[in-house]
Amino acid sequence: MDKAGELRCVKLYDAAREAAREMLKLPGFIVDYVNFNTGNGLVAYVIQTPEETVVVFRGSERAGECVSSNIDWVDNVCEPFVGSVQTEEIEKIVQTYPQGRVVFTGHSKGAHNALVALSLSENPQAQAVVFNGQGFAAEALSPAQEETLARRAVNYVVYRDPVGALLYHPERRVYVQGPETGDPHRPEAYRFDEAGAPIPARRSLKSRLIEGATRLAEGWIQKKGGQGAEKLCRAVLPQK
Amino acid sequence: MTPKEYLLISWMSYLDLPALYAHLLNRGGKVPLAAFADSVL
Repeated sequence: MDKAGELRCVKLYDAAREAAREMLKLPGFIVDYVNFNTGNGLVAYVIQTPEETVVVFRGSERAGECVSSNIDWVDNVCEPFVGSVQTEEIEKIVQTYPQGRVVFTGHSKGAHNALVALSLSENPQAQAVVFNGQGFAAEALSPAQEETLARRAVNYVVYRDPVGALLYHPERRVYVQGPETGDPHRPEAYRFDEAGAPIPARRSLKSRLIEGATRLAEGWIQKKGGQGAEKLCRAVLPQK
Repeated sequence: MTPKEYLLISWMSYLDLPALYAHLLNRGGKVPLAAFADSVL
């Protein structure tokens, strides 16, 4: 295989290279992979370890060499108004694992999709462990789904990450340490102890303000311009 | 897995490698995580 050719989409910066080195020690196998980069944007991997099945959802990508469109970002903006174009594929994946220990995980949009997956799962052993995931619109989930997330999902959010502050979060959020400057949303922002547990931190005021502002904005748009937002989103998103 | 390990695999999921995966999955049906990591280093 022409490694340089096959791997042209990989642009590992130093922190990601270090993460890949740490992955060398992990047990388990990638047993399935779905890639809808040319459609609804969903990308997911299934990893089988001796203890559990881990379903990993990828976060948002921008159009570029590896991804053909900005569908992830359009979907992020439109989901509160028309739902996500990725939900149908998420549900198909979820239905593949109706029993046994399953953990849904991901970062950013991947985290949000992992929470969606858990909300759709009827597997009583399913859980979600996610990172800097955005929240949900006020009416997006049923009370039963909210209860499932409250009991079986944890969202580790860097204490000043704006994305993990967005909208409503029925899942348990744990605020964790990160750098005082720079982008708190990136995966390398997390600080862990030697056992691999995120180090708790106090949530920033800015994070609280962002949450309040986005809840107000979502409610206002739904009330005043919901139909317009819905029409616009349906025009720019591909048919589900 | 620890939370840190879940984050590692979440991070690596940003690597879009359909050609690599098609190659490896067709060959063995499953790809060791370590081999995946090694392939991108």
